[in-house]
Amino acid sequence: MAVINETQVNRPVKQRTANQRKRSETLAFYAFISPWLIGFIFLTAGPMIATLGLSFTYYDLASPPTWAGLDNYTHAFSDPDFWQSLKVTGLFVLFYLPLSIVLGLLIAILMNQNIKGIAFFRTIYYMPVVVPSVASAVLWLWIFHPSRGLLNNALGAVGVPKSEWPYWFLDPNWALPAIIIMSLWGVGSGMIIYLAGLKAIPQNLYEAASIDGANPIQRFWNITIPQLSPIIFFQVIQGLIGAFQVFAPAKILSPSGLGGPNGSTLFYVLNLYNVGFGGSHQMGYASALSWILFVIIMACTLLVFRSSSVWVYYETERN
Amino acid sequence: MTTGTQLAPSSVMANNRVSNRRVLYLAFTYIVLSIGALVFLVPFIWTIFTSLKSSSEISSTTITILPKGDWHWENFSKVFTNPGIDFPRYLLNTIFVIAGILIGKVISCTLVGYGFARFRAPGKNILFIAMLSTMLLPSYVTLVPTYLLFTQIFHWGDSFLPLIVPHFFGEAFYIFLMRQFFMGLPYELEEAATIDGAGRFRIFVQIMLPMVTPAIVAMCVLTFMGAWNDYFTPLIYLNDPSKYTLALGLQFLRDNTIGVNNSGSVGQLNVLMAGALVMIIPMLIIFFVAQKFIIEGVSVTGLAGR
Repeated sequence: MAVINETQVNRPVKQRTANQRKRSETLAFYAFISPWLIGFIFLTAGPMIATLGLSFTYYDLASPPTWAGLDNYTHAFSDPDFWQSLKVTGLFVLFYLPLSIVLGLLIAILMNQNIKGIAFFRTIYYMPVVVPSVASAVLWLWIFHPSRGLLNNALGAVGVPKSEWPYWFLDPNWALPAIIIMSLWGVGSGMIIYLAGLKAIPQNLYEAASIDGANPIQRFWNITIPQLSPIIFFQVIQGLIGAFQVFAPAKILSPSGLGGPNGSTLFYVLNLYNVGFGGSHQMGYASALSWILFVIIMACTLLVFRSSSVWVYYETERN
Repeated sequence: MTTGTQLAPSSVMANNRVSNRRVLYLAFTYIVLSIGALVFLVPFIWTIFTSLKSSSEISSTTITILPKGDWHWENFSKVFTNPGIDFPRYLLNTIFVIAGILIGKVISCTLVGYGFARFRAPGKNILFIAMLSTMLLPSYVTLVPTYLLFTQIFHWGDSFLPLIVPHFFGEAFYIFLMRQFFMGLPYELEEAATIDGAGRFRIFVQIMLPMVTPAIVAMCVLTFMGAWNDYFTPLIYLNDPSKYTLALGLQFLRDNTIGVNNSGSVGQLNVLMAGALVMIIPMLIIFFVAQKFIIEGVSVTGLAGR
C-alpha cells in the first residue's frame, strides 16, 4: 500500500489521503466496537449509576420511586439479615478459599510429572467443574441426606453412631460446612490453572538449584511458590469475587430457599435476591445492597493488590 | 557420567538408588491420585446408580451403591413424562435461548475484538482498559436497573429476550480472546484484499473471520456451557413454567418430588437424580469432545495474571 502511494501520488495529495485514512480508520474502529460501546453505556455504566441513584429511593414496582435519602443504607446496617449474610459469606471465603488453593495446588503438583495416565486423571478431576450448579446442588442434597445419604452412611460404616450423624443442610452448624465440602468438589478449575502455571516454570531454575544442593522442599518454597505467586494471586482475587456471588447452592439447598436454617447459608447474593426478587420487591434496598457488594469487592480486590508487592513475585522486578 | 572406568560402579549404584526412589515416588503419586480420583467420581457413581434404582429400594433403610434388583431405566423416561413438569419443553426452551445467545456472542465479540485488534483511533486505549475492567465487575451491580429496564420499560418479563439480548453487546473476556487471535494474524491478509478493492467489512467477514474459527469454536463451547448452567437470570425473569429452562425445570422437579424443604418423600429421588443427569450428561459429552478448547481457554484466563 505504502509503495503505491509513494510512487503514484504526489506529496500534497498524499497528505490529504493520509488524513482521510486516519479519519476513516477512526470511524471504522468505532463502527466495529459499537456493539460493545452501546452495551457498555446502556447495560453497564448507565445501570451502575442508576443503581446508585435507586439506592437513595424507596421503590416497590407498584408505585413510582420516592426519595429515601440514606435510609436504605442505615437500614442495611441495622438489618440482622445483612450482617448474617456478610458473616456467612465471610466464613465461606475464610475456609473455602485457602482450602481450594492448597488442594488445587497439591493435585496440580502431583500431576505435573511425565507419568502415564495424567490426561486421564486431569479429566476426572476437572469433570465436576462442568456440572451445572443446579444439578450439582440436587446431587449433593442426596449425598448429604440425613438418614439415607451416602456420606452419613459412610460415617456409619467407620463407626460413627447414627445418633451423631449430622443433619447437614437441616442443621445450622453443618449447613455451611456442607456447602464448603460441596464447593471443593469443583477444585479442578483451580488445579488446571496451577498445572498450566507449573508447566510454564523454566526447568533450568530447578536444575540450577539442584546443582547448588537445594532439596525438593527448598526448591518448592524458593522456586515453585514464587514462580506461581502471580497465578495464586489471580486465583485469590477470582475466588473472592466468586465467593461474594455464590447463589445457586444457597438457594436450592436451604429449606424453602431462604438461606436457613437460622440463616446459616444466607449468602450475600441470596439475601439480595430475597430483598429484591423474592416476594417483596424492595428495589431501592436491593440497589443499596448491590452497591455495598460492589464497594466490598473493590475494597477486597484493592487490598489483595496492595498486599501483592509483598508476596507476589514478578520476573521483571529483578531488573 | 561414566567417563572413567573407576567411577563406573559407584555411579551405577547411584543410578539404582535414584531409580528406586523414583519408582517409590511414582507409586505414591499413582496411589494418591487414584484415591483422589475415586473421591471425585463417587458423587457421579452414586447419582447414576440412584437414578437406576426402584422407588421401593430408595425408601428402604439398607443402603447399597449398586441397585439390588433390576436396573430401572424407565426413571429417565419418567423425567420427560412427569405430569405438570414439561421437561421436553424446558429442553427446547434452553436450546432456543442458547442458540440466540450464541448468535449474539459470535457477531458482537468478533466485531469488537477485530476493532480493538486492528484499528488505531483516539480513545482506543482508554476504551480497551474500560472493557478489561468490566471483567472484574460483579454483575449484581447492574442487576436492579437492568431488571427494571427489561421488565418495566420493555415489558420483556416471561420472555426469552432478557436472557438473549444482552449477549448481542459482547462480553469482555471473549472480546479479549478474539482480539488476541486477530492480533496474531499477518497484516498482509488485509493489505492484499484492500488492493483488490474490498471494503473493511467485507475483508472482516470473508477473510479474517474464517481465520479465527478455532477461537469462535472455543467461545461457543464455553458460552454454551455457561448458558446451560445459568440459573439466576431465568429465575428472575421467567415465572411462567412453560417458559422454564432446564436449570429452573430441575429445581421445579426437586420442588415437586422431595419438596422445597428437602424433607419430603425420598421415593422419587431416582427420578430426580435421572433429571440431574439429563442436565449433567450433555455437559460431560461436550467436555470430553472439546476438552482441549475448554482446558486451554480456562488456562489462558488463569494465566492472565502472569
